[in-house]
Amino acid sequence: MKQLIYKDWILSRKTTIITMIYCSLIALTFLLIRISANCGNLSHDPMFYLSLKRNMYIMRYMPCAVFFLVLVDNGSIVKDYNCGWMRLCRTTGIKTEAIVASKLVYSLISISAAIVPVMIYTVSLCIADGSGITFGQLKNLCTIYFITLTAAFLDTFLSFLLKKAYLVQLVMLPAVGTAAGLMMMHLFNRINKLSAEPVADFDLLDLIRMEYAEPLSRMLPVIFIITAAVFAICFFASVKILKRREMP
Amino acid sequence: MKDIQNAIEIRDLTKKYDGFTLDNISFDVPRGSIMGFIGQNGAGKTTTIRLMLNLIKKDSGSIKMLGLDNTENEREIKSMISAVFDELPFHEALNADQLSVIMSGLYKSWDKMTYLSYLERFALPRKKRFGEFSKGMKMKVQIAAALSHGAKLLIMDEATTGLDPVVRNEILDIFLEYLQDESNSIFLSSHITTDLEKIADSVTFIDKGRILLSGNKDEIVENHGMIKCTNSQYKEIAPEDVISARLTDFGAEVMVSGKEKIEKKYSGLTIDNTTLEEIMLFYVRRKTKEWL
Repeated sequence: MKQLIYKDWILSRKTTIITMIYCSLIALTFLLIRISANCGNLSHDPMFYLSLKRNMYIMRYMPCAVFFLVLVDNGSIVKDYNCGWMRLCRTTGIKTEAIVASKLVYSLISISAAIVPVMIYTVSLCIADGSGITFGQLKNLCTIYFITLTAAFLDTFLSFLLKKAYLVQLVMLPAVGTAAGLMMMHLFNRINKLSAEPVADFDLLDLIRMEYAEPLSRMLPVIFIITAAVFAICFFASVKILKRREMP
Repeated sequence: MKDIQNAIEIRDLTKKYDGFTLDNISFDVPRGSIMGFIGQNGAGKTTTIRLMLNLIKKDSGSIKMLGLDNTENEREIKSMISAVFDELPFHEALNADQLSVIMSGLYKSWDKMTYLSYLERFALPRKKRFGEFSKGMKMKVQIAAALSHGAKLLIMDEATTGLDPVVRNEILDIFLEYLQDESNSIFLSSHITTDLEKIADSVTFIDKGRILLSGNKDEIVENHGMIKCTNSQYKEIAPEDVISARLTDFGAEVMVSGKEKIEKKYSGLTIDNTTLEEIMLFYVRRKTKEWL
């Protein structure tokens, strides 16, 4: 199985590393803004900083955004079908369970890799604030992480089921479209607030506040169990699909 | 495995699709030999191979490979065989070195040194992406991988199609070397009959999902003959002795089987030797009987 994970790493390492770099740069940008707000130029304009403060929390939802970047590259299963790799695997003695497990484990690794910059940012932010990282913040991060993982596992299962990249993307389109729309709305709203005559606030993303995430993070053990259950269901269903699928 | 006579045994194999049926085919591939599986495009060669590899489900019949049933002992069989397809089944971003690491996970008996020696012999670069390989190089790397885990049976689906004569010759020589070990066997599907004439011990000819001929290649070729005669002489040949005939304004070419018997029956006519290609050409038109 580790050789199959190695294969997926070889094929997607550029995308994964670039994703990590982007996340790190975004995290660093927000960190610099925070430091500036604490003791730099932005500290002279506390109102401007306060209007930015809420969007700092966006970083904690970064794994969701990263998931959508990973989604583009999780066409690895579809690529395996298209180039004949899946067919070749079926002609060898390797277990179908190993093939499916390698894909799910790789999803886990790539999501986890993307969350590293987010964790570094969160910890740095708390150190910069002098507030220290709280258990509540860790729970929030874990909640978002497990939800993102669940979505990644479902995407893997859909890729095994549907085979065609455009079909998987079609199914995920509502979620992708919603996330992209919210992010664009948030960005335009930020720019709008900086203008001389800002129009009325129209940012839906501002409604996603940490206090709303609290009830969800209290259900963290349940969310963890759901993630584990989704992993198991996706695994067994994908194995069954792959075993029964004809490779014409 | 020592007592196995046939590397592949197929009995009454049937698979139905819309518009095509692989209809009760049966043949054997003797152990230690190369069987050429010939037929025109759409005859059922690839379907047969996919059934053998359990990539598609059969409707009825049985397939035994290396003495084992191909569905009940699937994993055991697949660890002892290699499949080579007409197109490279590896991602184009990979290179030969990376492939070796990956293949070691697919086959327990993967032999890296054998693989590297084939790469060296084929003069294949180890660090170059497969996407930059030529068609001949892609086929060579597939074959290098196929021969590097101690496979007892090679199944090749149109592996030499689209290759230039130099590369094809090189590959055919590799196959002959592979067969130096008498426990190894090759099942090679192709419509390039000249390749099969060079190396095949036996041939099976499939057309429209049915087996028309199967047996020792030399015997099949010797048993068939081509009568070149005038149209009026052609009319004297009994229809049941004719497989099919190509008629032109200048004369007729008539494919016959049972050469010795025909020579005695039609002593005034000369029966020339024929080739696998001609046998194939005339057999696919056996229902039409006469054609241009």
